[in-house]
Amino acid sequence: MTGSTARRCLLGLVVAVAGLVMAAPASAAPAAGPWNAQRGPNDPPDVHGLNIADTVKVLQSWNKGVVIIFDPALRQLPKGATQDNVVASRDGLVNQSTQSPQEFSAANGPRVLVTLGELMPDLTGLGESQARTVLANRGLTLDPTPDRPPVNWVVTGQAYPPNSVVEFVPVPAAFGPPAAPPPPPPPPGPRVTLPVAIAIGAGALLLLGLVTALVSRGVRRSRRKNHDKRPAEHIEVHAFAGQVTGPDVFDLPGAPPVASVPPPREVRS
Amino acid sequence: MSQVTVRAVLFGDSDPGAAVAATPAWGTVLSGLGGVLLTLSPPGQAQLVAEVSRAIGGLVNLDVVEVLVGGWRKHRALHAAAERTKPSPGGTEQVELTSHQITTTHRPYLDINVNGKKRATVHFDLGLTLVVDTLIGTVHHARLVAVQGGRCTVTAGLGCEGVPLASRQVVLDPHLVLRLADGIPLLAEDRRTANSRS
Repeated sequence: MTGSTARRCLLGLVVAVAGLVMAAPASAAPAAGPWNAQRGPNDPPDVHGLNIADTVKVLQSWNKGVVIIFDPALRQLPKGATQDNVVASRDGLVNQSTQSPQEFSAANGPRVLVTLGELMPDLTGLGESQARTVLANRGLTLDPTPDRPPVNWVVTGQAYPPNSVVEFVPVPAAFGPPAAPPPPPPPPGPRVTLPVAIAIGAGALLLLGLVTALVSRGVRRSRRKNHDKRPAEHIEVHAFAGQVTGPDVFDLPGAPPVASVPPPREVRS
Repeated sequence: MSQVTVRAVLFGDSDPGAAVAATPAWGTVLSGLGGVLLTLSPPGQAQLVAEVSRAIGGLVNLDVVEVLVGGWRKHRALHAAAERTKPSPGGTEQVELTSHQITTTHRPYLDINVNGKKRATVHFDLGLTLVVDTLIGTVHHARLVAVQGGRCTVTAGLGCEGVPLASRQVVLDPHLVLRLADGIPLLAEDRRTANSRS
Protein backbone atom coordinates (compact mmCIF):
# COMPACT_ATOMS: atom_id res chain seq x y z
CA MET A 1 0.00 0.00 0.00
CA THR A 2 1.46 3.35 -0.96
CA GLY A 3 1.43 6.39 1.26
CA SER A 4 -1.14 8.07 -0.96
CA THR A 5 -3.49 5.10 -0.76
CA ALA A 6 -3.13 4.94 3.02
CA ARG A 7 -3.95 8.62 3.30
CA ARG A 8 -7.03 8.14 1.16
CA CYS A 9 -8.19 5.22 3.30
CA LEU A 10 -7.68 7.24 6.46
CA LEU A 11 -9.60 10.17 5.00
CA GLY A 12 -12.43 7.85 3.99
CA LEU A 13 -12.57 6.44 7.49
CA VAL A 14 -12.69 9.90 9.01
CA VAL A 15 -15.47 10.96 6.66
CA ALA A 16 -17.46 7.80 7.44
CA VAL A 17 -17.10 8.29 11.19
CA ALA A 18 -18.03 11.94 10.86
CA GLY A 19 -21.07 10.96 8.82
CA LEU A 20 -22.18 8.50 11.47
CA VAL A 21 -21.74 11.10 14.18
CA MET A 22 -23.72 13.65 12.20
CA ALA A 23 -26.47 11.14 11.40
CA ALA A 24 -27.01 10.17 15.05
CA PRO A 25 -29.69 12.32 16.73
CA ALA A 26 -28.06 14.66 19.18
CA SER A 27 -30.31 14.88 22.22
CA ALA A 28 -33.62 15.43 20.54
CA ALA A 29 -33.21 17.73 17.60
CA PRO A 30 -30.45 18.08 15.07
CA ALA A 31 -27.88 20.71 15.93
CA ALA A 32 -28.08 23.77 13.74
CA GLY A 33 -27.07 27.36 14.07
CA PRO A 34 -24.06 29.62 14.22
CA TRP A 35 -22.43 27.99 17.24
CA ASN A 36 -19.83 25.30 17.55
CA ALA A 37 -20.64 21.86 18.84
CA GLN A 38 -17.56 21.84 21.02
CA ARG A 39 -17.47 24.29 23.84
CA GLY A 40 -14.48 26.55 24.20
CA PRO A 41 -13.26 28.12 27.41
CA ASN A 42 -15.18 31.31 26.66
CA ASP A 43 -18.42 29.58 25.69
CA PRO A 44 -21.46 29.78 27.98
CA PRO A 45 -22.22 26.79 30.17
CA ASP A 46 -24.46 24.01 28.94
CA VAL A 47 -28.04 24.61 30.01
CA HIS A 48 -29.55 21.58 28.31
CA GLY A 49 -32.62 20.39 30.18
CA LEU A 50 -32.86 23.39 32.51
CA ASN A 51 -36.04 25.38 32.89
CA ILE A 52 -36.19 29.10 32.14
CA ALA A 53 -35.38 30.27 35.64
CA ASP A 54 -32.42 27.94 36.07
CA THR A 55 -31.17 28.75 32.60
CA VAL A 56 -31.17 32.46 33.37
CA LYS A 57 -29.53 31.80 36.72
CA VAL A 58 -26.76 29.65 35.24
CA LEU A 59 -26.06 32.01 32.38
CA GLN A 60 -26.01 35.11 34.59
CA SER A 61 -23.72 33.39 37.01
CA TRP A 62 -21.44 32.77 34.03
CA ASN A 63 -21.62 36.42 32.95
CA LYS A 64 -23.73 39.03 34.64
CA GLY A 65 -24.00 41.11 31.51
CA VAL A 66 -25.19 38.24 29.33
CA VAL A 67 -27.90 38.92 26.79
CA ILE A 68 -30.13 35.83 26.62
CA ILE A 69 -32.12 35.27 23.47
CA PHE A 70 -34.77 32.53 23.60
CA ASP A 71 -35.92 30.73 20.51
CA PRO A 72 -38.85 30.66 20.24
CA ALA A 73 -39.47 33.90 22.10
CA LEU A 74 -41.13 33.40 25.43
CA ARG A 75 -44.12 35.44 24.26
CA GLN A 76 -44.44 33.39 21.12
CA LEU A 77 -44.31 29.89 22.52
CA PRO A 78 -46.40 27.32 20.63
CA LYS A 79 -49.88 26.68 21.99
CA GLY A 80 -49.59 24.32 24.92
CA ALA A 81 -46.04 25.27 25.76
CA THR A 82 -45.60 27.60 28.73
CA GLN A 83 -42.69 29.17 30.54
CA ASP A 84 -43.35 26.61 33.25
CA ASN A 85 -42.92 23.53 31.10
CA VAL A 86 -40.40 24.53 28.42
CA VAL A 87 -36.75 23.64 28.93
CA ALA A 88 -33.55 24.66 27.25
CA SER A 89 -32.38 22.39 24.52
CA ARG A 90 -29.09 24.02 23.60
CA ASP A 91 -27.29 27.30 23.91
CA GLY A 92 -24.43 29.10 22.26
CA LEU A 93 -22.83 32.41 21.64
CA VAL A 94 -24.12 34.35 18.68
CA ASN A 95 -22.76 37.27 16.76
CA GLN A 96 -23.91 40.73 17.63
CA SER A 97 -25.59 41.07 14.29
CA THR A 98 -27.89 38.11 14.86
CA GLN A 99 -31.52 39.12 15.07
CA SER A 100 -32.84 38.27 18.49
CA PRO A 101 -36.38 36.97 18.89
CA GLN A 102 -36.40 38.31 22.42
CA GLU A 103 -33.62 39.81 24.39
CA PHE A 104 -33.89 38.94 28.04
CA SER A 105 -31.57 41.73 29.08
CA ALA A 106 -30.63 44.99 27.50
CA ALA A 107 -27.16 44.85 28.96
CA ASN A 108 -24.30 45.06 26.54
CA GLY A 109 -22.71 41.68 27.27
CA PRO A 110 -22.21 38.38 25.39
CA ARG A 111 -25.30 37.28 23.46
CA VAL A 112 -26.39 33.70 24.06
CA LEU A 113 -29.09 32.04 21.99
CA VAL A 114 -31.02 29.47 24.00
CA THR A 115 -33.13 27.14 21.93
CA LEU A 116 -36.14 25.93 23.85
CA GLY A 117 -37.91 22.64 23.76
CA GLU A 118 -40.04 20.30 25.82
CA LEU A 119 -39.45 17.13 27.73
CA MET A 120 -40.59 14.29 25.51
CA PRO A 121 -43.56 12.38 26.92
CA ASP A 122 -43.86 8.59 26.71
CA LEU A 123 -46.29 7.89 23.87
CA THR A 124 -45.95 4.12 23.85
CA GLY A 125 -49.34 2.39 23.74
CA LEU A 126 -51.30 5.56 22.99
CA GLY A 127 -53.65 5.85 20.04
CA GLU A 128 -53.13 8.56 17.45
CA SER A 129 -55.59 11.02 18.95
CA GLN A 130 -54.29 10.42 22.47
CA ALA A 131 -50.72 10.90 21.31
CA ARG A 132 -51.64 14.14 19.52
CA THR A 133 -53.35 15.43 22.67
CA VAL A 134 -50.43 14.58 24.93
CA LEU A 135 -48.02 16.31 22.55
CA ALA A 136 -50.30 19.30 22.01
CA ASN A 137 -50.38 19.88 25.77
CA ARG A 138 -46.65 20.60 25.47
CA GLY A 139 -46.79 22.56 22.24
CA LEU A 140 -45.56 19.63 20.18
CA THR A 141 -46.99 18.06 17.02
CA LEU A 142 -47.07 14.46 15.86
CA ASP A 143 -45.49 13.05 12.71
CA PRO A 144 -47.06 9.58 12.57
CA THR A 145 -45.85 6.62 10.53
CA PRO A 146 -47.92 5.54 8.65
CA ASP A 147 -49.44 8.90 7.83
CA ARG A 148 -52.93 7.77 8.77
CA PRO A 149 -52.69 4.91 11.21
CA PRO A 150 -55.85 2.85 11.74
CA VAL A 151 -57.94 3.88 14.72
CA ASN A 152 -57.06 0.81 16.76
CA TRP A 153 -53.31 1.12 16.20
CA VAL A 154 -51.07 2.45 18.97
CA VAL A 155 -47.63 3.99 19.21
CA THR A 156 -45.04 1.26 19.05
CA GLY A 157 -41.99 3.48 18.84
CA GLN A 158 -41.03 7.13 19.10
CA ALA A 159 -38.04 8.95 17.63
CA TYR A 160 -37.12 10.65 20.88
CA PRO A 161 -37.00 8.70 24.12
CA PRO A 162 -39.22 9.75 27.02
CA ASN A 163 -37.87 12.68 29.09
CA SER A 164 -35.39 13.67 26.41
CA VAL A 165 -35.49 17.30 25.30
CA VAL A 166 -37.23 17.76 22.00
CA GLU A 167 -37.43 21.06 20.19
CA PHE A 168 -40.62 22.30 18.59
CA VAL A 169 -40.49 20.15 15.52
CA PRO A 170 -42.97 17.38 14.49
CA VAL A 171 -42.24 14.35 16.62
CA PRO A 172 -41.94 11.11 14.56
CA ALA A 173 -43.77 8.15 16.06
CA ALA A 174 -44.40 4.70 14.61
CA PHE A 175 -47.83 3.10 14.94
CA GLY A 176 -48.77 -0.54 14.81
CA PRO A 177 -51.51 -2.94 15.85
CA PRO A 178 -51.74 -3.35 19.59
CA ALA A 179 -49.88 -6.35 20.90
CA ALA A 180 -52.04 -9.11 22.27
CA PRO A 181 -51.97 -9.17 26.03
CA PRO A 182 -49.80 -11.96 27.38
CA PRO A 183 -51.80 -14.98 28.42
CA PRO A 184 -52.46 -15.14 32.12
CA PRO A 185 -50.25 -17.54 33.94
CA PRO A 186 -51.89 -20.88 34.51
CA PRO A 187 -53.45 -21.20 37.91
CA PRO A 188 -51.40 -23.25 40.24
CA GLY A 189 -52.71 -26.76 40.24
CA PRO A 190 -53.90 -28.35 43.40
CA ARG A 191 -51.24 -30.24 45.17
CA VAL A 192 -52.16 -33.85 45.60
CA THR A 193 -50.53 -36.46 47.69
CA LEU A 194 -49.42 -39.78 46.24
CA PRO A 195 -52.33 -41.86 47.62
CA VAL A 196 -54.82 -39.33 46.27
CA ALA A 197 -53.11 -39.41 42.86
CA ILE A 198 -53.27 -43.18 42.79
CA ALA A 199 -56.94 -43.08 43.70
CA ILE A 200 -57.65 -40.54 40.95
CA GLY A 201 -55.76 -42.66 38.40
CA ALA A 202 -57.66 -45.78 39.39
CA GLY A 203 -60.94 -43.88 39.16
CA ALA A 204 -60.04 -42.59 35.71
CA LEU A 205 -59.19 -46.10 34.52
CA LEU A 206 -62.48 -47.38 35.90
CA LEU A 207 -64.35 -44.57 34.15
CA LEU A 208 -62.53 -45.30 30.89
CA GLY A 209 -63.47 -48.97 31.09
CA LEU A 210 -67.07 -48.06 31.78
CA VAL A 211 -67.23 -45.69 28.82
CA THR A 212 -65.64 -48.29 26.52
CA ALA A 213 -68.19 -50.88 27.60
CA LEU A 214 -71.07 -48.47 27.00
CA VAL A 215 -69.80 -47.47 23.58
CA SER A 216 -69.29 -51.05 22.42
CA ARG A 217 -72.74 -51.93 23.67
CA GLY A 218 -74.18 -48.99 21.74
CA VAL A 219 -72.38 -50.08 18.57
CA ARG A 220 -73.73 -53.64 18.93
CA ARG A 221 -77.23 -52.30 19.42
CA SER A 222 -76.87 -49.99 16.43
CA ARG A 223 -75.75 -52.90 14.25
CA ARG A 224 -78.66 -54.98 15.44
CA LYS A 225 -80.98 -52.07 14.74
CA ASN A 226 -79.63 -51.67 11.22
CA HIS A 227 -80.05 -55.37 10.72
CA ASP A 228 -83.64 -54.95 11.82
CA LYS A 229 -84.13 -52.18 9.23
CA ARG A 230 -84.52 -54.74 6.50
CA PRO A 231 -88.09 -54.54 5.29
CA ALA A 232 -90.41 -57.32 6.24
CA GLU A 233 -91.82 -57.27 2.72
CA HIS A 234 -90.15 -58.52 -0.43
CA ILE A 235 -90.34 -55.59 -2.83
CA GLU A 236 -89.57 -55.81 -6.53
CA VAL A 237 -89.76 -53.07 -9.14
CA HIS A 238 -89.75 -54.20 -12.77
CA ALA A 239 -89.29 -51.76 -15.64
CA PHE A 240 -90.96 -52.25 -19.04
CA ALA A 241 -90.35 -50.39 -22.29
CA GLY A 242 -94.05 -49.91 -22.92
CA GLN A 243 -95.56 -48.38 -26.00
CA VAL A 244 -93.23 -46.68 -28.45
CA THR A 245 -94.38 -44.23 -31.08
CA GLY A 246 -92.03 -43.15 -33.84
CA PRO A 247 -89.60 -42.01 -34.71
CA ASP A 248 -91.74 -40.08 -37.16
CA VAL A 249 -90.37 -37.48 -39.49
CA PHE A 250 -92.22 -34.38 -40.69
CA ASP A 251 -91.14 -31.57 -42.94
CA LEU A 252 -91.53 -28.32 -41.08
CA PRO A 253 -94.13 -25.95 -42.48
CA GLY A 254 -92.82 -23.48 -45.04
CA ALA A 255 -89.91 -25.68 -46.10
CA PRO A 256 -89.39 -25.95 -49.84
CA PRO A 257 -89.84 -29.34 -51.48
CA VAL A 258 -87.04 -31.83 -51.14
CA ALA A 259 -84.53 -31.84 -53.98
CA SER A 260 -82.53 -34.82 -55.00
CA VAL A 261 -79.69 -34.31 -57.42
CA PRO A 262 -77.11 -36.79 -58.63
CA PRO A 263 -73.54 -35.56 -58.24
CA PRO A 264 -71.69 -34.47 -61.40
CA ARG A 265 -70.26 -37.45 -63.22
CA GLU A 266 -66.58 -37.72 -63.72
CA VAL A 267 -65.48 -37.23 -67.35
CA ARG A 268 -62.99 -39.78 -68.43
CA SER A 269 -60.80 -39.09 -71.40
CA MET B 1 -72.36 -43.64 -33.74
CA SER B 2 -71.43 -42.05 -30.44
CA GLN B 3 -74.13 -42.38 -27.83
CA VAL B 4 -76.06 -39.36 -26.61
CA THR B 5 -78.79 -40.53 -24.29
CA VAL B 6 -81.94 -38.82 -23.14
CA ARG B 7 -80.53 -39.31 -19.67
CA ALA B 8 -77.55 -37.10 -20.58
CA VAL B 9 -79.85 -34.54 -22.21
CA LEU B 10 -82.17 -34.35 -19.21
CA PHE B 11 -79.82 -34.77 -16.29
CA GLY B 12 -76.26 -34.33 -17.56
CA ASP B 13 -73.90 -36.05 -15.15
CA SER B 14 -76.42 -36.04 -12.29
CA ASP B 15 -78.07 -39.18 -11.00
CA PRO B 16 -81.54 -39.25 -12.61
CA GLY B 17 -83.18 -40.76 -9.53
CA ALA B 18 -81.74 -38.14 -7.24
CA ALA B 19 -82.51 -35.34 -9.70
CA VAL B 20 -86.11 -36.42 -10.11
CA ALA B 21 -86.53 -36.94 -6.37
CA ALA B 22 -85.44 -33.33 -5.86
CA THR B 23 -88.24 -31.96 -8.05
CA PRO B 24 -91.48 -30.69 -6.49
CA ALA B 25 -93.43 -33.04 -8.78
CA TRP B 26 -91.84 -36.07 -7.14
CA GLY B 27 -94.15 -35.56 -4.16
CA THR B 28 -97.11 -36.01 -6.52
CA VAL B 29 -95.64 -39.27 -7.77
CA LEU B 30 -95.17 -40.52 -4.22
CA SER B 31 -98.67 -39.52 -3.25
CA GLY B 32 -99.88 -41.64 -6.19
CA LEU B 33 -98.04 -44.52 -4.59
CA GLY B 34 -99.63 -43.76 -1.25
CA GLY B 35 -101.92 -46.75 -1.45
CA VAL B 36 -98.97 -49.09 -1.67
CA LEU B 37 -96.71 -47.21 0.69
CA LEU B 38 -99.26 -47.27 3.50
CA THR B 39 -99.28 -51.03 3.49
CA LEU B 40 -95.51 -51.25 3.86
CA SER B 41 -93.29 -51.07 6.90
CA PRO B 42 -91.09 -47.94 7.18
CA PRO B 43 -88.03 -49.81 5.85
CA GLY B 44 -90.21 -51.18 3.05
CA GLN B 45 -91.42 -47.70 2.16
CA ALA B 46 -87.84 -46.44 2.01
CA GLN B 47 -86.82 -49.36 -0.18
CA LEU B 48 -89.72 -48.84 -2.56
CA VAL B 49 -88.96 -45.14 -3.02
CA ALA B 50 -85.28 -45.94 -3.59
CA GLU B 51 -86.11 -48.69 -6.09
CA VAL B 52 -88.47 -46.47 -8.09
CA SER B 53 -86.04 -43.58 -8.26
CA ARG B 54 -83.27 -45.98 -9.28
CA ALA B 55 -85.47 -47.54 -11.99
CA ILE B 56 -86.10 -44.10 -13.51
CA GLY B 57 -82.43 -43.99 -14.46
CA GLY B 58 -82.94 -47.07 -16.60
CA LEU B 59 -85.99 -45.61 -18.36
CA VAL B 60 -84.12 -42.67 -19.84
CA ASN B 61 -81.30 -44.52 -21.58
CA LEU B 62 -82.85 -43.93 -24.99
CA ASP B 63 -80.19 -43.07 -27.58
CA VAL B 64 -80.90 -39.72 -29.24
CA VAL B 65 -78.68 -40.44 -32.26
CA GLU B 66 -80.54 -43.71 -32.88
CA VAL B 67 -83.78 -41.74 -32.95
CA LEU B 68 -82.24 -39.21 -35.35
CA VAL B 69 -81.03 -41.90 -37.72
CA GLY B 70 -84.30 -43.79 -37.35
CA GLY B 71 -86.13 -40.68 -38.48
CA TRP B 72 -83.85 -40.21 -41.47
CA ARG B 73 -84.42 -43.81 -42.53
CA LYS B 74 -88.09 -42.92 -42.79
CA HIS B 75 -87.43 -39.72 -44.70
CA ARG B 76 -88.90 -40.03 -48.19
CA ALA B 77 -86.06 -38.34 -50.02
CA LEU B 78 -83.31 -40.32 -48.30
CA HIS B 79 -85.22 -43.56 -48.70
CA ALA B 80 -85.75 -42.88 -52.41
CA ALA B 81 -82.08 -42.06 -52.88
CA ALA B 82 -81.13 -45.27 -51.12
CA GLU B 83 -83.41 -47.27 -53.41
CA ARG B 84 -81.89 -45.59 -56.47
CA THR B 85 -78.27 -46.01 -55.48
CA LYS B 86 -78.51 -49.56 -54.17
CA PRO B 87 -78.34 -51.40 -57.54
CA SER B 88 -75.20 -49.56 -58.61
CA PRO B 89 -72.10 -50.08 -56.42
CA GLY B 90 -70.77 -46.69 -57.54
CA GLY B 91 -74.10 -44.94 -57.34
CA THR B 92 -74.01 -41.73 -55.33
CA GLU B 93 -76.60 -39.01 -54.81
CA GLN B 94 -76.66 -35.83 -52.84
CA VAL B 95 -80.02 -35.16 -51.20
CA GLU B 96 -81.04 -31.83 -49.77
CA LEU B 97 -83.33 -32.18 -46.78
CA THR B 98 -85.17 -29.06 -45.73
CA SER B 99 -85.81 -28.34 -42.05
CA HIS B 100 -87.66 -31.26 -40.57
CA GLN B 101 -88.78 -32.62 -37.27
CA ILE B 102 -88.36 -36.11 -35.85
CA THR B 103 -90.50 -37.13 -32.90
CA THR B 104 -90.77 -40.21 -30.78
CA THR B 105 -92.75 -41.01 -27.66
CA HIS B 106 -92.00 -43.80 -25.24
CA ARG B 107 -94.37 -44.85 -22.49
CA PRO B 108 -92.39 -47.08 -20.18
CA TYR B 109 -93.83 -48.24 -16.91
CA LEU B 110 -92.81 -49.84 -13.65
CA ASP B 111 -94.58 -52.74 -12.05
CA ILE B 112 -94.33 -52.82 -8.29
CA ASN B 113 -94.54 -56.25 -6.73
CA VAL B 114 -94.80 -56.81 -3.02
CA ASN B 115 -94.28 -60.35 -1.77
CA GLY B 116 -94.67 -61.63 -5.31
CA LYS B 117 -97.97 -59.87 -5.99
CA LYS B 118 -98.33 -56.93 -8.36
CA ARG B 119 -99.53 -54.01 -6.26
CA ALA B 120 -99.16 -51.00 -8.56
CA THR B 121 -98.06 -49.78 -11.98
CA VAL B 122 -96.39 -46.41 -12.46
CA HIS B 123 -96.58 -44.98 -15.99
CA PHE B 124 -94.03 -42.64 -17.45
CA ASP B 125 -94.01 -40.51 -20.61
CA LEU B 126 -90.73 -39.92 -22.36
CA GLY B 127 -90.99 -37.53 -25.29
CA LEU B 128 -88.22 -36.61 -27.69
CA THR B 129 -88.43 -34.00 -30.42
CA LEU B 130 -85.57 -33.31 -32.80
CA VAL B 131 -85.75 -30.26 -35.04
CA VAL B 132 -83.15 -30.65 -37.79
CA ASP B 133 -82.01 -27.69 -39.87
CA THR B 134 -81.55 -27.97 -43.62
CA LEU B 135 -78.87 -30.47 -44.53
CA ILE B 136 -77.33 -32.16 -47.55
CA GLY B 137 -76.88 -35.89 -47.19
CA THR B 138 -74.70 -37.95 -49.48
CA VAL B 139 -76.12 -41.41 -50.19
CA HIS B 140 -73.79 -43.99 -51.65
CA HIS B 141 -74.97 -47.50 -52.43
CA ALA B 142 -77.97 -47.12 -50.13
CA ARG B 143 -75.86 -45.80 -47.27
CA LEU B 144 -75.71 -42.34 -45.77
CA VAL B 145 -72.01 -41.57 -46.03
CA ALA B 146 -71.83 -37.80 -45.46
CA VAL B 147 -73.90 -35.03 -43.94
CA GLN B 148 -73.48 -31.29 -44.37
CA GLY B 149 -75.39 -28.93 -42.11
CA GLY B 150 -78.29 -30.33 -40.14
CA ARG B 151 -77.91 -28.66 -36.77
CA CYS B 152 -80.22 -30.55 -34.44
CA THR B 153 -82.22 -29.07 -31.55
CA VAL B 154 -83.19 -31.81 -29.13
CA THR B 155 -86.05 -31.37 -26.67
CA ALA B 156 -86.55 -34.15 -24.15
CA GLY B 157 -89.27 -34.39 -21.53
CA LEU B 158 -90.06 -36.91 -18.81
CA GLY B 159 -93.39 -37.17 -17.03
CA CYS B 160 -94.98 -39.56 -14.60
CA GLU B 161 -98.70 -40.23 -14.49
CA GLY B 162 -99.28 -36.97 -16.38
CA VAL B 163 -97.04 -34.94 -14.07
CA PRO B 164 -94.00 -33.37 -15.78
CA LEU B 165 -90.81 -34.32 -13.96
CA ALA B 166 -88.03 -32.98 -16.15
CA SER B 167 -87.59 -31.20 -19.46
CA ARG B 168 -84.54 -29.83 -21.21
CA GLN B 169 -83.35 -28.70 -24.63
CA VAL B 170 -79.88 -29.06 -26.13
CA VAL B 171 -78.38 -28.46 -29.56
CA LEU B 172 -76.37 -31.19 -31.24
CA ASP B 173 -74.03 -30.96 -34.17
CA PRO B 174 -74.52 -34.10 -36.27
CA HIS B 175 -70.90 -33.98 -37.36
CA LEU B 176 -69.85 -34.51 -33.77
CA VAL B 177 -72.30 -37.25 -32.82
CA LEU B 178 -72.60 -39.19 -36.05
CA ARG B 179 -69.90 -41.72 -36.85
CA LEU B 180 -70.54 -42.44 -40.46
CA ALA B 181 -67.46 -44.59 -41.16
CA ASP B 182 -68.66 -46.94 -43.95
CA GLY B 183 -72.00 -45.21 -43.96
CA ILE B 184 -75.30 -45.76 -42.20
CA PRO B 185 -77.52 -48.32 -43.99
CA LEU B 186 -80.80 -46.66 -44.88
CA LEU B 187 -82.78 -49.67 -46.10
CA ALA B 188 -84.24 -52.28 -43.76
CA GLU B 189 -82.65 -55.33 -45.41
CA ASP B 190 -79.20 -53.72 -45.38
CA ARG B 191 -79.67 -52.87 -41.73
CA ARG B 192 -80.44 -56.48 -40.89
CA THR B 193 -77.32 -57.60 -42.78
CA ALA B 194 -75.20 -55.02 -40.99
CA ASN B 195 -76.61 -56.05 -37.63
CA SER B 196 -76.00 -59.76 -38.33
CA ARG B 197 -72.39 -58.94 -39.27
CA SER B 198 -71.86 -56.99 -36.09
